[in-house]
Amino acid sequence: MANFFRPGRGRLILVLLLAALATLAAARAPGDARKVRKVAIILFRGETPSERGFLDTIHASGDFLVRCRAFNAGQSTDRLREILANLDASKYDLIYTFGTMATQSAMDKIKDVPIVYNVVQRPIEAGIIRSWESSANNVTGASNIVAMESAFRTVALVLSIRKLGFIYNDQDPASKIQRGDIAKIQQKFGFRILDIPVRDLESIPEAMRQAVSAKLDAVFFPADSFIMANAGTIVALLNKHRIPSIAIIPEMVTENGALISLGPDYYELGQLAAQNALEVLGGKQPAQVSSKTVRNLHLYINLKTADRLGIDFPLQLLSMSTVVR
Amino acid sequence: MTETGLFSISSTETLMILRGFIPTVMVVAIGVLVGKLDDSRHQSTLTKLIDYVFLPCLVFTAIHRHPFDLNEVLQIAVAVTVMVCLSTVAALCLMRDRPGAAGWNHLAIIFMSSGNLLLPLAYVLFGSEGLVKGIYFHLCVLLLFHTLGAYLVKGKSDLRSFFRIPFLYPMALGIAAASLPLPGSENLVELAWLTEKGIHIAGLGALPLLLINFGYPLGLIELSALRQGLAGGALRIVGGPLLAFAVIWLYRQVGWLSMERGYDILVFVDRRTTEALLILGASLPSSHHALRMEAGGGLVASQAESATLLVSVLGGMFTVITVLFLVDAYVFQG
Repeated sequence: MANFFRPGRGRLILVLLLAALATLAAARAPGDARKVRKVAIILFRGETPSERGFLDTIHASGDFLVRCRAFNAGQSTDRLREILANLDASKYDLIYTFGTMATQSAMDKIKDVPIVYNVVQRPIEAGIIRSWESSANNVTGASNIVAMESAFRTVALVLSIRKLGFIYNDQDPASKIQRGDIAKIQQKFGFRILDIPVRDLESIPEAMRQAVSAKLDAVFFPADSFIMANAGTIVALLNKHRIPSIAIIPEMVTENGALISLGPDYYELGQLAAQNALEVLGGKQPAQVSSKTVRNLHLYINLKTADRLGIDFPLQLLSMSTVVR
Repeated sequence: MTETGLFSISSTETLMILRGFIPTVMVVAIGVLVGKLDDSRHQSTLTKLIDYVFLPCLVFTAIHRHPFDLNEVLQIAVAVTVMVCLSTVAALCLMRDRPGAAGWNHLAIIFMSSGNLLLPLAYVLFGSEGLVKGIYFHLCVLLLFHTLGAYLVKGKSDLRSFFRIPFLYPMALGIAAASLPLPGSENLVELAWLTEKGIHIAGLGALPLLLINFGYPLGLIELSALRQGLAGGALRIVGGPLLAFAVIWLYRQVGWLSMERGYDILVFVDRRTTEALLILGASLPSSHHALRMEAGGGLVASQAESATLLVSVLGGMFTVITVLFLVDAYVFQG
């Protein structure tokens, strides 16, 4: 045992320890072994939880070191066009798009680089994919589709609606598709729709005056990027006039004070889109990767708004929802 | 801020349960007071008002807004039939009715207050969805009461009296109205909505009246009879929920009330509401049916079944609230 601590042996132990540490450090730096991929992220209204889900999943990949560059249109269609006009898609391995408008615009310009869409309500009707199984083009992604009947059954549990306002951006094709879906079920649920189209920020006050004077029982917010971006102002006005607001996008309840929403969790949607992106980066053609939808819908209730509007939620809804106080 | 393993006193759900249950007990207490003060015995008038005016409005309002689902009706009907049949076996095996009583006390043990108590509680706690399910529950109980119940006390079923219950007809009307298209003319639509609004207001009026009607005879029961009702009352309020939990466990095992969450959370919420309603219905105190059938005028009948009713009501104040917390913890959040 005494020989073990001789100076020569000590140096050897030190070298071995350093070698072990270096090996461990090398193992902890997987980036070296991973293939580098570049992704352009085209956003219409800034980062949402869906992008956080996308980035978290894609950065956790053991196969690729993904370098992302985000382009934000800041809710401007002109800016979106400008971004796409200046974008050299060939520099990227994949393009991520948020929303129907950004996806359609990207598809018009980019044909050779895979596009992964996210938060597109009706990708088939919008001409983005041919079917859920195969897009038959360079696109795949994740949809936030919600069966309107489910949304209205939720609403019927707490509200008796006869006049329903439908507020939408008349330039967004996704909103028009959702308007068509609601029109199909109005007979079944016994209500009439009053359209409240908005085109830009200036048209919102007039649209709200129209909603208030029509004595609406509730206003429905489709999954529409422009409406979402201005939801704070719109919902505040509706709450002031005690008109309940029903949304598809959960953030409208958690951040803007809408009464209730039934829709997918956006973070989960981002994870699903990332799974498709990783498959495409791994070598699959986008047409071979089926579009995804979330497995469960989530219910969000804003109790503060409910108290203000004098609406009582039944116990089972409170117990099984994400409640915002 | 009292936190326990089962519930938090400050949670929204706890407050919601208390906000539903406490006012219900208070209105029943008002009914007890009315019964004590009303020397002229006007309960039969109150009962007629409820049966012929307010309850039909409530039933129509609830049913005509709810898409009819046969599977939902069958789930409730089968559960109620199983629970009532097993309660009958338990009551006949464990309880002896007094000589010559023709099984009236058994009826008080077997049948729960599915009308006077369940409908208001279901509405207050589970909203319109709960009310509709409560109406189906009540319908099944009434059918069983006029068949099995009548057979137990009279030796023959009495389907004719079942079809004389006004409750059935607004229900049929509501189902028909739910499937009718909206009138084409704007004026007709406005008129229909206005009429519906009036019916709805009258329907909401049924809720406190049902509770007052439930409380009315309780104050007339002599407390000295309490001992006679201990076993029967306990069987009603403890055996009932145990049976309901067993039935629900069975439903889940066979997949009729699946725990699979699925895409649409509302389908899941709907299944859990059915379970909650069945458990709540089964845990309620005895009904007035037996008293009304025996006494005719809706007042207190003879001692044994009156005592069972009183014990089940007093005990139910603790068991029902416990059951509600269990439902919230293990059915809704479990």
